[in-house]
Amino acid sequence: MSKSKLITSGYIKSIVGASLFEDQAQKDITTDLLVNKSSITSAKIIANEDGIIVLNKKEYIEKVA
Amino acid sequence: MSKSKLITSGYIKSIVGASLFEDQAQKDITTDLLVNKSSITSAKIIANENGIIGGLDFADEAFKQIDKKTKLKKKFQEGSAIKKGDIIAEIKGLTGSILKSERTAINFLGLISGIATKTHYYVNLVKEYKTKICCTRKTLPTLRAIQKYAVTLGGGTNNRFNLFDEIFIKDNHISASQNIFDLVQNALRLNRSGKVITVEVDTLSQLETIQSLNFNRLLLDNMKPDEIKKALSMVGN
Repeated sequence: MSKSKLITSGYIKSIVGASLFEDQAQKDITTDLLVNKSSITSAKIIANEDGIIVLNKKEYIEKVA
Repeated sequence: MSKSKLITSGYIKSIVGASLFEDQAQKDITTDLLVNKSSITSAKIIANENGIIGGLDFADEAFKQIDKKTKLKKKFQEGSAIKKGDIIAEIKGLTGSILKSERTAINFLGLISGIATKTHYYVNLVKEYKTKICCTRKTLPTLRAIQKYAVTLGGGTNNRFNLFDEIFIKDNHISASQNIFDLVQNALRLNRSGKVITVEVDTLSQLETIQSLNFNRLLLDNMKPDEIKKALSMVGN
């Protein structure tokens, strides 16, 4: 089985959905109580150390295929 | 959330089933082609190193889902200390059935025992102090219940299981609000469901700002030992 068949958009949706459910992300009581519902934020994910990052599915497939 | 609520028989059936499906264990082409269908095997699972054993019910379920006639006899109780060379379990059944399920069974044993063993190591390191080892939500996606369960087997404790379990004010909330005192005060005022309130602080100055408030738990984030000592003395410990 090729890598492109392993990581489909359906698989990503399914496992991400299961992970968000596991974390009860839609019921984040702290955020719901304390964060202004109309507040907008810009945020950055910054590397903590050197490494390889998988930016998106297409790039991942191109690199490993 | 207690250990028994984390790991139910339904949960074990479900996650073991998904893992066997992931491995296509029922379609093990090598075994189907090459192994005599009536061959019977007795096998042993032997410890490769010292540690804490965990995941025996998961392993048993893996063998049973492929062939309910496969027998697994546990030689240790879940959470027991084991030594290198110990026989952890004995298995008897059709050779083909054992070959189809053994990788999945051992993957569960390895994952759970590995976490339990590492946790137990840290629990022992701090046992002479008034300190517990507690795990976080930084878990492998979809495997949180198993990983948190394994921590308890090793003598550790679980923090909240998910975002609904308790109010946990972290650095990100504090950054968004800019005012940690107001944030904690609002949490206390709005907490009508009686959830535990934990507040994470990065600095002694933040701690000083909120220490008069009556929340439940404090998390000292990335503090050096000297800062932790000062923080503990500030809160009377």
